[in-house]
Amino acid sequence: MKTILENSNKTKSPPKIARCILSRISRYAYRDNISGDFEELYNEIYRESGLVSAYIWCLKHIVRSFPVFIITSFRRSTAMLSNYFKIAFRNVKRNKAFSFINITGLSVGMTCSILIILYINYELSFDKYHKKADDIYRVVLTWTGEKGRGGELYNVMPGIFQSAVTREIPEVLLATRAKTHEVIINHSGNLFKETGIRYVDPDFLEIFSFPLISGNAETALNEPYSLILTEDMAKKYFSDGDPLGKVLNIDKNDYKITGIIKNVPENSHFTFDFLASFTTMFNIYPDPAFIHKWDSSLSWNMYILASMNTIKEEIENNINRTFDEQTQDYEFRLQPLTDIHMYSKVKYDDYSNISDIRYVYMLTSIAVLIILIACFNYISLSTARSIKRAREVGIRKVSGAHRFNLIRQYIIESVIMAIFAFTISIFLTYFLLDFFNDLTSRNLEFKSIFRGNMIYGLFGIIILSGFISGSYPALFLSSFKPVNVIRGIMKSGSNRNSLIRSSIVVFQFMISTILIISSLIVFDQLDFIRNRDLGFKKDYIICGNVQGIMKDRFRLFKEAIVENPGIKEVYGLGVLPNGMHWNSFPNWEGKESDDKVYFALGMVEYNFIDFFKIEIMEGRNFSQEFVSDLKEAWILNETAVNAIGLEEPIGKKFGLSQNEPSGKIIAIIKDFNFSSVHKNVEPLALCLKRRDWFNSYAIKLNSENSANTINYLKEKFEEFAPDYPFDYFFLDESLDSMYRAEQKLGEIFNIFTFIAVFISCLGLFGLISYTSEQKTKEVGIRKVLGSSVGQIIYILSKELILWIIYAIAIAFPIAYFSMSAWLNNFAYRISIGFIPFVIASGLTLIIAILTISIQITKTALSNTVDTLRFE
Amino acid sequence: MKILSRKDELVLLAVWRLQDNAYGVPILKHIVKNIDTGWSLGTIYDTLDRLLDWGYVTSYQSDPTPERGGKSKRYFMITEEGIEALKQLKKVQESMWQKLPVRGDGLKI
Repeated sequence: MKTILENSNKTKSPPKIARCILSRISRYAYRDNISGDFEELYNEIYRESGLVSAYIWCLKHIVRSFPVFIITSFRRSTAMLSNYFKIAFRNVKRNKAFSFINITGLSVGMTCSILIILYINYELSFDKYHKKADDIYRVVLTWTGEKGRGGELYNVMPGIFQSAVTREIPEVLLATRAKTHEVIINHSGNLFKETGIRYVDPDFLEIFSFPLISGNAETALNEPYSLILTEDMAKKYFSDGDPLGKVLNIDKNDYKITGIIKNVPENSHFTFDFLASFTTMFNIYPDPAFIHKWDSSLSWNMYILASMNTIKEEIENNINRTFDEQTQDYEFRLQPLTDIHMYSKVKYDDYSNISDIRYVYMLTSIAVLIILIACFNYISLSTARSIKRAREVGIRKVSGAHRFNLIRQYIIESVIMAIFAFTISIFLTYFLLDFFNDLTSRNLEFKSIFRGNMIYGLFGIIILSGFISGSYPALFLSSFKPVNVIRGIMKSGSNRNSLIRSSIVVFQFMISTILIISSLIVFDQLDFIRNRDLGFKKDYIICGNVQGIMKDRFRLFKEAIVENPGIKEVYGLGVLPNGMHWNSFPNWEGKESDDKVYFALGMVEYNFIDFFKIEIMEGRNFSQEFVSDLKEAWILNETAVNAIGLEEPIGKKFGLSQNEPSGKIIAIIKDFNFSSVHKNVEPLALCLKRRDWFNSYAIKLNSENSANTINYLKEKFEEFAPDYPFDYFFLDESLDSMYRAEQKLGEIFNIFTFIAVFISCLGLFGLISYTSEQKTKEVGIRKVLGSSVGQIIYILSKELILWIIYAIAIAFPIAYFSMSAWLNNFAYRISIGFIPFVIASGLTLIIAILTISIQITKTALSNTVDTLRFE
Repeated sequence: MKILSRKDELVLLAVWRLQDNAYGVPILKHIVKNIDTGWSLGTIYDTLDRLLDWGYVTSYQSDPTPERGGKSKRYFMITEEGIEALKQLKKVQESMWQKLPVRGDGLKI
């Protein structure tokens, strides 16, 4: 507005901003001349073609001159830069303690962030290496209606879907089934158990970008019993030559090797060692028609490739509409390939590498907090010792420095500090990476720090931490009035400053206290679930699976080994307590027709309840004396009885047939935990196994000499089934592994808590050093006037202790609410008592007092003569 | 001897040509008139700055005049070395242009 007025007033100057930019396009001495030249040109255009053209001309020139403007401004501003560097380095050298505290704090904080950025980068890179990653989806299904139960997803798909979807849905270009098996490979007489063989359709190689090293991708998976090996497997089995065209014996069948494939990258949600042609399945399964049914053969993983630029929801709707008739009680859902690792939520996704986006959020926030704590150390220490630099500020201002120059100087100083710390943290990262990999069970590489987008992240860390820590000191220091400084009437801590410092200490110790409380609660909770009574016995029990001929011979094997004194009892073959993955909607006496309750089913051996020491509440155990048990006996858990609302359940009819329940309930058992303790116990029905579908066994060992017994079992096993390796695991260890994610979380929490407390204490130590140094004289005078050492310690530490008490008070509610939220993830959880809070506040106070006591005692005990001699 | 760039050459020639009136605006106009594309003032000053460093031009500042918002003009004048450099450049160009062979279709360049 103003410029327009000016222009209409015949002054005819270009707008101010234009003058400002345009006059700075060359060296300083020319500024006036250039400005004049511009004004002349501008006036000429204005006279000839009016204001608008003049403005447009101006704008055009601003745009064109901008690069030069930037370069020259930068060149000019660097004139003082060498001086800033010099002063910054002198300051680092002169105030060794100050620099040490800042650099240590910052570099530890930065190391955490670098590690966490590496981790996040890796986590988010999952499956992105596929060229068509954006158009690949995994198809999963969810039960509709009553069966839905909160929309749980299952990645078991009907086999026919693969051909149907490509035929019926135009947007779907390709589809492949996939199924992972465990097999025994017999290679020139040696037996190997392999868990990573995947049966896939030929389109698999087209959909995913797994490059073949040799072999023809078009035909490699067409024939039955075709096999593609990864490089590692090629090396393992055919170290002496090219495996192409050779034969590998898997589960007694000869597979022809038709290709070698690159190893699967670690950042893949699924992995494999072998790819076998899906057509093999038709030969393996006794009834191949089973694969082509919509309802009964839900057992395949399914991936589709959609055409480009299609919308996920549209394909999903299209699929569900098209196959509505075939799929009566379930619906399909699409999961984008790149989301599977972080957001899968599929139940029993055993073969996938699944994480949770919440871990990423949690780690990120912890990293940010730790860096903040470190930056705040810098702020509080710089302002505390600002008086020492007041004279420098005065001189600079008198010699013509603007406030802006000073702000820039102090920001540059803190950025230099940040770069320094960063260099150290790169080394720290290098040495700590292995440890961090252990902690997060990832395989991050140091060299990926310098790859791709990482560099922006690292640059961001330096600049951000430099700016955050430099910001307040810069604003504060540059505000000094030279007159006051030189006359020497600087007040060391203005009210505003001590407020800033105290809030920094409060903030830092609040974070530390929250972390301490949290890690105590996490520890308690993990301890609680580990030692929780699951409702069945799990100690000294080894379990495993048997295959092939051993399935038939297991009864003989059982009879043979039961003689051994080291073996107490044998269970098998049947379902294990943690393997009840079969589900159904049973029928019972007096059931309303629309009453549907989702049950887990367990097909077990006679001795299941005795073997795992499960408590019977009512009724009798399965018994061989009652012949009918095999056909019609059911045992329900308490939850099941409550869910179906039966009174006096014993003897009532129960079964899976929807017309007429054929069995009857013979007992009620106490609830035992057959899935994760994240979930409540679900309704469960046990019956005796009627078919040989199951291949799990369990053997209870004597606690003494169990190692020998296992050796004995191994020998015996190989005697019975020479073609199969003896493969076992301890039940309690396998149950513990379900909580590995939580245990890792606990460890990570402890470490970060320690780091946060450590950096906070560094800052507190620095702060107390400066304040007590400033109060040296006061202490001297007080002592002369008769104060005792105790009184002086009290005076010096009172304020700080008060701050820390505030911090603890603020931390309590925050910690309480965030930990309640975390505990809600568990079906079985501790209630948050007051003990973690007491311990945490005690710990925080003790650590803080220890930190300040060294310095304060030194000051309090100092010789009055020495302290008062300073002038 | 330094071989001048085209930009240096044009600016230097303009300064020589304009004689007593060689300051930013006329130099710019002269060049724009001859080569028919827009140059920015910054380019001119940047080039002049370089020429000044090499000693091919000298500069002096006029007294402020009222018609340019009270801003003074900076005049440039070519030096002996500047003229020498231009002559050298011309010689190089001429010798480079000599004895260019005839192209296949008989067209003489």
